[in-house]
Amino acid sequence: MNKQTENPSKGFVVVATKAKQFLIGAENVCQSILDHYEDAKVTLFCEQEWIDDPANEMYFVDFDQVIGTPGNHTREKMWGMANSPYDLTFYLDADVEIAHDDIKDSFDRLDGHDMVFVELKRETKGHFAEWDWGNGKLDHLTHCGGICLYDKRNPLVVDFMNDWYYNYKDTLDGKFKPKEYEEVPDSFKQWDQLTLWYQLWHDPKYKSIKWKYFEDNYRWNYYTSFGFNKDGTHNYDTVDPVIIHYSSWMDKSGSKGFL
Amino acid sequence: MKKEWKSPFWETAAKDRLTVRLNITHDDGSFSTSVARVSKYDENGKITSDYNEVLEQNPIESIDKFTEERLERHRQEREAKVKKQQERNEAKRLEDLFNAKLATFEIPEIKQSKNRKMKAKIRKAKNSVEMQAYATILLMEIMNEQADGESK
Repeated sequence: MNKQTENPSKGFVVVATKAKQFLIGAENVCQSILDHYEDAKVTLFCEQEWIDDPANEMYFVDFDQVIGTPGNHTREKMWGMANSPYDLTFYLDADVEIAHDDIKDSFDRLDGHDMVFVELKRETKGHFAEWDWGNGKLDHLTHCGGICLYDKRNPLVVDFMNDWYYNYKDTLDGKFKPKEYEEVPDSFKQWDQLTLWYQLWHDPKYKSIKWKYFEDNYRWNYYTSFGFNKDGTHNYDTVDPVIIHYSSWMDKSGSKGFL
Repeated sequence: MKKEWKSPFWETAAKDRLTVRLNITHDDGSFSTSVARVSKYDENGKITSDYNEVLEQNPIESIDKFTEERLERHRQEREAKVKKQQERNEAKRLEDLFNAKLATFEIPEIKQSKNRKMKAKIRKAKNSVEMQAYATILLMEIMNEQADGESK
């Protein structure tokens, strides 16, 4: 075991491409992490063009590193995940916000695993645009792609992220079609969670990857559509969410409002 | 012709009118179904034959039970609907507040401010009044600092 392995570097990764609101959101993610975890390191991956524009410098102040992505595809996030400068990385979507000090202990949640995800549970299926295509145990999008805690010291994890990046793009282009996709309606192929589903459950290359779900699952990605009760409690067995996901009302095309 | 009166429930607290599903199997073997309203009394105050038929097939206790269960089910559905709407409203309020906070952080003076503590207070504000109050305090501080700088 080398020194690097004994003292792994730890940090967060946020990716912003396509639209300016994601850059604004990414800065907010970074600052909300720092609100709760002062020494945290956060790296931003964004379009090189944005980095080169001096008007954007003000958004980069709090980041540990700012790294250009090779393109501006919606899912450059997987490229950012593969190229994280940290051994232990917590990837976060740009439309989340940290709401609890437990973010400081988030890396402990790996607990010897290569990856940790939030499970998209059946009881919450109504909150997602698409969720299932059959009654089988795995006939649905099982993993949330909005956050992912992972350990890059296993080279297979880096391969996984790179394959996720390319397989997703090839799925969109109709070039990647493993037999497991045969029962899946075409509409599901727009979601990067389907590629993630394939790689985690079916890809023989990644059988040895040790992954799990967060024990306190939705604390780590509580969608605003899940509801906030008047008495301050939350739903779906969630107590004191660490990460709030503001995706349901977000105007991703930027035509309706500020975000 | 065979008439079956199914799932009757009282429409009124006086229990003088029922709503009931009527299934009819006709002599030619065809089948039809409809929702019927059955009054206990006809215009002359006599108990109707339909009412008697319903009660022959459905004891009054089972009609009472079905009526209560139906009311309870409807009450629960109404409550669930109201709760869901409240949750949606609250989620929408928080999404709007989130957007407003990001807009606040885009104010150049606030964006450039190094006062992390006050910026965290803006981010953690529970409503727009609290958010605007902290934003105003921060802007006042910035303006006071600028005024101090200019007077020196």
